[in-house]
Amino acid sequence: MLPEEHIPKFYHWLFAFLCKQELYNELAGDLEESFAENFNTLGSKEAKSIYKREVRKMLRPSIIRKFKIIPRFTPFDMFKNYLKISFRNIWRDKEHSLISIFGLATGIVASVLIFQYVNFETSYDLIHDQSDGGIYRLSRISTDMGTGEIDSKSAGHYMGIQSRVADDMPEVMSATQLYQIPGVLTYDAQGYTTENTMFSTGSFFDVFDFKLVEGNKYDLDQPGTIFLSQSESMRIFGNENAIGKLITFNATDFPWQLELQVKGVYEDLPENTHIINPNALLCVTQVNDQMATFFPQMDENELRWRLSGYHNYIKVLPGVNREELQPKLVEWLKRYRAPYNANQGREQSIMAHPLTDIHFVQDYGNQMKPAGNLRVITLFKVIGVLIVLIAWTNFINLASAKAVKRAKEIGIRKSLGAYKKQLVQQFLLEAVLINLFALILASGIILLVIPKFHQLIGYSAFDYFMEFLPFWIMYLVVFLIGSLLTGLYPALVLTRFDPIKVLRGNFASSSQGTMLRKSLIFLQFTIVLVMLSGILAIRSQIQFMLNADMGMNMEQTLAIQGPPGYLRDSTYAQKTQAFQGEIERNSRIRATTLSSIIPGVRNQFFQTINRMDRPSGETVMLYRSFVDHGYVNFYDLDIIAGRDFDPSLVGDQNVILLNREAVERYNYESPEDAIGKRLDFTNGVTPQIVGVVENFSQMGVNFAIEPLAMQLINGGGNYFNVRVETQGITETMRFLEESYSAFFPGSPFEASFVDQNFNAIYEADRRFNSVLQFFAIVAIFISCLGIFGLSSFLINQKMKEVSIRKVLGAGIAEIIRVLTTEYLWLVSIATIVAVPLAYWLINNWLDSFLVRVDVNVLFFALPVIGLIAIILITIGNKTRKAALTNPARTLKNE
Amino acid sequence: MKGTYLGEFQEIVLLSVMALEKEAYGVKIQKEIAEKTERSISRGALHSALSRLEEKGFLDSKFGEATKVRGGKSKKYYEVTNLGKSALKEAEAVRKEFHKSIGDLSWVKYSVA
Repeated sequence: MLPEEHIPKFYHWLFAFLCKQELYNELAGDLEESFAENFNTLGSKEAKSIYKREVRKMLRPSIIRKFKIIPRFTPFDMFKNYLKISFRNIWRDKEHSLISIFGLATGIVASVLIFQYVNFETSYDLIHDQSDGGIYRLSRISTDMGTGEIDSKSAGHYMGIQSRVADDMPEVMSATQLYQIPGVLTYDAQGYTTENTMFSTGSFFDVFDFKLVEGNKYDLDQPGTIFLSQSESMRIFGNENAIGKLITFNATDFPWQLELQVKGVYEDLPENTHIINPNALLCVTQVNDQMATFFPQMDENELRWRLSGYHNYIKVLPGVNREELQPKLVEWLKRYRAPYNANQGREQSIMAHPLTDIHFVQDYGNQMKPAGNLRVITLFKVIGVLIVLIAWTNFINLASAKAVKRAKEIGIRKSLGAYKKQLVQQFLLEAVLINLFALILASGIILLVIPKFHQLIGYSAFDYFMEFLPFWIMYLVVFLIGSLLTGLYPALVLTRFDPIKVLRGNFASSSQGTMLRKSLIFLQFTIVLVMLSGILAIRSQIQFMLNADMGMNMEQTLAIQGPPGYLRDSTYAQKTQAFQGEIERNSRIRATTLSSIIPGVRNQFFQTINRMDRPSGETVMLYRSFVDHGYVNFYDLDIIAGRDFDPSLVGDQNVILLNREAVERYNYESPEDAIGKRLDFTNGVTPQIVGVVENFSQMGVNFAIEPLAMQLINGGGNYFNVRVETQGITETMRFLEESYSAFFPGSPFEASFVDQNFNAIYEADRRFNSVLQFFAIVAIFISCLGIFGLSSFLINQKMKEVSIRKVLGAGIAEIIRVLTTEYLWLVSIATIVAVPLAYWLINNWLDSFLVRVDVNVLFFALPVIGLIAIILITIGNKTRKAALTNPARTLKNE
Repeated sequence: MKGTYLGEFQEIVLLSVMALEKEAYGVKIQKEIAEKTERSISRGALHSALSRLEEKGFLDSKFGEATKVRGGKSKKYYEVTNLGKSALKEAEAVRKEFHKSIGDLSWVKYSVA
């Protein structure tokens, strides 16, 4: 075999590929000659390795050929030129470019925030696979059998549903329930407050697709078992394995202790599910047994079909739809409920809520999280699109206004032989570049504002960004197409110019594109006006609700939470009174009273109760509260009949005060008529009505007033209501905290002013308002940028007119009028369109409130005035300059 | 001055081309240098030196015959130009100047010791 056949093939090929053509013969020949010689003298192996080394050392710039990575064809050269020119243009007119880029970037930021919010809100409970059967929550609807009116709706339903529904109904595959009891978990003498302790069943993991990381799901059906969420396990045990550890659970609100063993750990629930992420899951039968001890008068069966508040969920067989399921469930419940329904005069029925709808179910009580509002979400979607539109219209406006400036350039290009297509390409490229800069700037801004945004909406929506990746890719595509389209219009307008006309110099008076420009500005003004009106309306409604007379004096009232249930013992009532006595001695404390409920917090304790004298007559869902004898005075409630509780009467234990609503529901002829009558609280408790108070809005004016009965307690209660002096509030708080800790060692001191509770009640409305405000500011900002940029071009264009007017004797005021009339006209037309639209929207929104403000002229007048002011300020400086310019300077250019 | 400067390796290459007279092509030059200086150089490094010397005008080249052992690829013969010869002389003269000023080369030895 000849030596050359042994040459390493790859290296041979590699060298041939890399070597310059003109060097190849010499170098490759030399290499092969050396190889042949080495092969004969040193042997095949050595020769090969020398050859390889030689080839490697050939890899130097003087030998390797030049590869053309980017093929050099003519369009690309032109493209490079376009790019260069574009950058120069953007750089040269910095004001214009900055306004365009900032305007677009602001629009992008706002729309990204809005769409992420909308995405998040509409993604609730989508993680569960329902192709193998739908998931429903069984909510409760209560109908008055007499009047046929629905009198209450609640997400919670009867205790007995879960255990029977899967056995009785073939359509139901599995069922689970949740019951929340806040408490404290104690491990190793260390307590951990767990607000969201849920009692459930192992089938929780059958119905839902939540992941159990460790343990067997059916262990949850054994009393004495506790499952922890991963975060809770981390909080209590750190990196230690939680499985097998022993934990104690104490309920916060009543004395109840459970010894538990950790048998499972599950993944934390994501934020976009309607179920509050439970810290821990426990076996629900323990709650059922505990409830039985609270209601000793009811037998087990009665308890199961009368005690509600359990969240029940079912998973049905594939193919079972809601329409056929719903009536079957209603019929099914009647089997168990019929006797109680008849007795109470109410039909308690089932409403099956499909899982993915639950987040938007509005008017049901006892939901775990505040409901989302589909109308608000639709509104935001519209706003998001509008803001991008405003930004783009600005961009189009500015670009086409700039056409005037660039007309000469285009004329010359055309005379030199540029095709229209080439000019369009040039302008499109500029548009795309500006859009890209805006996109980059926007990404930076978004990263900066995410924390603020999360604060604003109340949850971390952007942590779920990746879940919506397909949407965002689509958004990007739409954005790029949009930026092409927005570039296209000015490009087409600009390139349509007749070069001869342009170069002769009489282009500036052309009215090309004015109509479009005007209508775009009109659109912006309309949007801004509607948003501003909306904000005013929402603000005044919230103010109205906060300041409305609720029939209670809540001035300077602190509510201090009493100790958790497990820390209360038989001496608790005495202790509370002693504590009251102690703090009342402080001169800064004006009054105290004890109560089971405080203003702004929903009263959860209600019961169906009849009149003693009419056992089968009026059955009323009567709310009950427990107060001490100072309560009526403390909150300045009006006694309209009878008397207040009397501390001097020992027999005042079995008496109640009613509110006017209760008197009316029980059909007493008058408040006076009710005095001395008795109600039947069952179990042989028949308290006498001794007084009637005027209605007061326990939950604020926007909640219907419920019929209420107040009973007297001597000590105890859940809250200390304390009226304090305004001065020295920090010292007073410190004093209260110290005395509280002295009386109730080991329990946390939690005090807040009761009016703050109302802020929390209107939280959703406030949030809506602040979000709307934010977007209105964005919209106004973008519009301002647009008006500012545009006006500077238009004024430049009108300089000749202004100068001639001045020469002819026009005053400064006259000039300013000439320059601003156009905008004022646009505002007037925008007002004509915006007012009815805003009126309709505002009215619609206000109608969702029980008590609402009237639509006020100011809602519409103020935005118009504001808008005019903003416009004048924006264009003011340019206008002033134009009006003051010496006309000779402008005219001499002719 | 950059144009005519002669690096040490380039001087050796130039000398070996001269020494090989009519037989100066890649493989031969490589072998010559390896034998005389006892250092092995790669063909790539040699190429760099040759092409730089050619650029400076110290070398001339022409394509020669193709042989079978080269896979039918022609050789390239190098020849030192007059400019190259004078550059060599100049370099030699510079050295001599230095040697003269040092006087005795063994002086270096003592000073190192």
